[in-house]
Amino acid sequence: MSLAMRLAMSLAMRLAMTTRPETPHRASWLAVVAALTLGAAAAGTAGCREVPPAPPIRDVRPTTLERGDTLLLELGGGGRHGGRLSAGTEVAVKLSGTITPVNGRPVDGGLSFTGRAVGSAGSAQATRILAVIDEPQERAVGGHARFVGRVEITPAEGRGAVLRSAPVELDLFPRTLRRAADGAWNGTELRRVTSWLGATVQPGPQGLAVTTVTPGSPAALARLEAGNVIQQIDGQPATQGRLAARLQRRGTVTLAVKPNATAGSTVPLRVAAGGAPRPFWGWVIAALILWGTSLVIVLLVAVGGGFITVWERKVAGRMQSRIGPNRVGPQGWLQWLADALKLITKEDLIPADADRPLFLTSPYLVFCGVFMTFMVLPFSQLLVVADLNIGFLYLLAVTSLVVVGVIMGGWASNSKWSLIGGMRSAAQIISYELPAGLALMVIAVMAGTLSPQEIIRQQGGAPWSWYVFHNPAALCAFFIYFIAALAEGNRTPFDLPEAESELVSGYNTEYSGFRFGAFATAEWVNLWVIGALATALFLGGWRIPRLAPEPIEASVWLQLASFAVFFGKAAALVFVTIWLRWTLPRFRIDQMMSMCWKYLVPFGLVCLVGSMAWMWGFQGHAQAQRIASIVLFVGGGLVPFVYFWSRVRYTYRVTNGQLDLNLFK
Amino acid sequence: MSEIVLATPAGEEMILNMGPHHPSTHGVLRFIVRTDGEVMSEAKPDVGYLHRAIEKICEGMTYEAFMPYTDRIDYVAAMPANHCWALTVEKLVGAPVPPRAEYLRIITDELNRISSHHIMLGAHAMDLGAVTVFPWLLREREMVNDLLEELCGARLTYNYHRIGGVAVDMPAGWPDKVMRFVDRHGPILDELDRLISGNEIFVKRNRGVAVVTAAEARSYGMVGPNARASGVDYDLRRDAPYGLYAKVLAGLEQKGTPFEVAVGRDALGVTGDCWNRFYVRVEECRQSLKLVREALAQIQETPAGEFWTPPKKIRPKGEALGRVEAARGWMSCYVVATGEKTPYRAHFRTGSFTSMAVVRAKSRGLMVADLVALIASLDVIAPEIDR
Repeated sequence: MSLAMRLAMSLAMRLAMTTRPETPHRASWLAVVAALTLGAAAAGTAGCREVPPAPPIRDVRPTTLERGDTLLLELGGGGRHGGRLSAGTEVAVKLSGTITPVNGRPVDGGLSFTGRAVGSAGSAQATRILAVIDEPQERAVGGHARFVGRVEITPAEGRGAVLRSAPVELDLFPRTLRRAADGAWNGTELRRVTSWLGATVQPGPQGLAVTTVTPGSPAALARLEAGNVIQQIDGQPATQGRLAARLQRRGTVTLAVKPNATAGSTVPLRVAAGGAPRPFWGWVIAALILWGTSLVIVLLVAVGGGFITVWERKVAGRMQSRIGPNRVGPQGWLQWLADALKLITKEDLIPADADRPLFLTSPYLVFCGVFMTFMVLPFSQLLVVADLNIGFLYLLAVTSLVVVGVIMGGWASNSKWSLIGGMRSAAQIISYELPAGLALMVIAVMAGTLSPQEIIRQQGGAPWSWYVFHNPAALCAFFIYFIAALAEGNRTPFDLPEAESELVSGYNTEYSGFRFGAFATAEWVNLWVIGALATALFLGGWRIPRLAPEPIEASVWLQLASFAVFFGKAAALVFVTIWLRWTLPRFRIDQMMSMCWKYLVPFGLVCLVGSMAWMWGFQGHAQAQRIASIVLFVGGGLVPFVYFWSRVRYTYRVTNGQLDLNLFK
Repeated sequence: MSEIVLATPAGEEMILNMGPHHPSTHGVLRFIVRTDGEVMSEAKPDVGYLHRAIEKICEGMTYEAFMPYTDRIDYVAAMPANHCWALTVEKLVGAPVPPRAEYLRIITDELNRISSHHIMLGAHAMDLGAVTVFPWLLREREMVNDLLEELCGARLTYNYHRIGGVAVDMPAGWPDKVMRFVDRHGPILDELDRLISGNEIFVKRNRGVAVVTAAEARSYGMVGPNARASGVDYDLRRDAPYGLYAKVLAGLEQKGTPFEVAVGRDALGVTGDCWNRFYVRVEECRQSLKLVREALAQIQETPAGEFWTPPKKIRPKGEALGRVEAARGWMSCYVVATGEKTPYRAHFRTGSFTSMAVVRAKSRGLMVADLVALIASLDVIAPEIDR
């Protein structure tokens, strides 16, 4: 079952990766298919109703847009229905219809931007219109939104009749960090490539304007001159990134070039490309950069994990009427460093009868499985390595590596205690992936996305606009997720795989030195992952009350504040896990399994259906939804907290504060 | 043992060697576990890793000199073992014991019972994963240790009793400190109930696990809290009182707070299961607090006098059996004397040894995790098994 699940996940990952192209010029086939279908429909309806002096809009693509993308309107041939639109004409492109932010109320609105008609090579008649979605208009959209309406072309001055219109459906996304990074990378590449080309170009409203051409260079040989405007590269809209990319490939590149900004038609120019191959050291540098960044992440995360170990021991100390570590560093906060040094300098002991290769590799699998999650964990609006649109699916997939490592370690140690620990762990982690996944689906249903950043953006800063208080099913899903995450992380009350009183130490009994350290680091880092995930999914992530995401993005201080908010929430959850560990006994394996399969999984399914029903029932009743959320916040959040607080006070009172350790002094 | 170790396990079964170096075998116990995955078909206890021939040593020592060795029979609760030896020899030579010493014996016995139960309760919870209970109870136990240290100078192996009395009288101000501890400890036990005894997971882990019926408990010779948890309502302090227990119990009766023998019942657990073995000890701590309070009150009413009247010359002849209610149940000592300086033969009967016997019978069909709960709930102490 597990293998099939993995396969399905990887397939889904591939599919999802292609459905939303991060870079539109590499439009994926799925988007093309969707666009073509849409275009055919558009041609069918738009062609008959009106006969304006422009060719019908045959296709609009890509259908998934980010700020800075170019929207391309494919125009049909002139002929019976069509008018003529000469290449180079400035037109205004307007989208009018409803913009529906995911999980928000639809608003009537539109976007308008300037487009330019482009002809195919050598043709004076326009075959397509290019429109760049620039920033100010995109601001109106905010987060992920769906646009349903019509696209209209009017003369550039905005006066006069609609030349052509067609129905269109688009997905609008805000600009992602990944895209920004792409831009920066393409910029450096461009400089290198254009220096080979012998021409400097500048992006303008009409395309890439050539500013200088070095005599004798490939650009000069291709008869490119200063003042020319490159409009298309191999039939695609000219962008710097595309120029850089195309010139590195072997073969020839066809540029559609206008003599200057005002001239009407373009001429094709052929540039012998392939002369600017990426040098070998470029790969080395790229590898070094990757290696360096991952090192930084691993180190930062490991240090964070180290701090959690000290924190846990300090909390445990306080809970158990003792002091906890207080010798190394200020108040003992560097204890983790001493521990790490000790572990690293210890002998790396391998049992004589162990399965050597498996024994040696298993800690790294566990380590990787946990650390790879940090790829998608969002710490603030900008502090995220990759805002994958399949973020949480990816997360479920990579954390599954952990169970492989644990089983391998348990088996390869050739110790019966390790083996039992490994088997317990396998049963436990695989079982609890299901309720965790179901709880995740509740959120996916509500948010309509799996991207962590998007899920956070859709929640609000105030507690009653968090997803956890969105509906009763979500509140239940939060607890299901938290319990399942504890089980997946081998934390009390689910620490059976390493139950020290039963199995000595479980699957890592035979490990020592650095390898044991890897297991331990992964375990404590995982604590942070549990907290961060629950925060992002249910507790509003980095959202600050009364502040929209956009002003946060604009200010460094607000960024820091949002990071602090996220950190605070996640740390509170980490504290809860620590607190549970030092309070609760552990389950027996049969109880653990029956809890998962008899209670959490069916209940998770109920929550999923319940959440769907709620979404359906409250669709369009924003006011009722808001009241329900506030009621849930009070009933499911405030009241239990007050009850809990009164219990704590009662206990303190009846045991006389009981911290009087010097009773006889 | 060899027949189990050498036998090739049939089918899917494997042999797990649990102990002597295992975190939850409390000292040096060893269990040879035949298991199919998590479910055991048998766990056979292998005793003898801590055998120090204490009974043989006794044959070469004078009656007085053997007293420190009795501390080592049960190092978690040494006072009752002291008491047992003193009681037996006093019976043998007919030595009188001054009332002040008798009261001190009761107070120290009961304080030591509380501290011993602390270890059991904490270890039981810790073996089931609730670690915090153990340090909390160690914190409380520390106070008992402080009290006993102030009294006799030792914190673990007290060597406090003497033939015909106790070694030292209580120092000035000591009763106040004991009362301070007694006053404080009641609410702590209530807190313990809130923390662990009623904890849902803890109850589920213990309820109905390794149920020993009253008849089985009798037939296996189980004594003390283990037998009482199975519903055997028998306590030496009430049913065969020694020393001044009868008087202290009567005093409690008069005050309207009678001494109640804690017996297992079908409450959160089933009579005779691990939960009852746990909770009987919590109750015993409460009862011991009552006894300490009453004994302290009575000792302060009686005029100060002798605390030790050592017999002139100990050359007894004959046989004697002394028995006390130790922390792990009825501990008895049987001495055969032939008029020499040293006893001819001495034998100790301890609660842990008989409790171990029940493990093999009850382990069939249990899970490995249940075995841990079973061992912890029986509160076996390795030196008391092996001596």
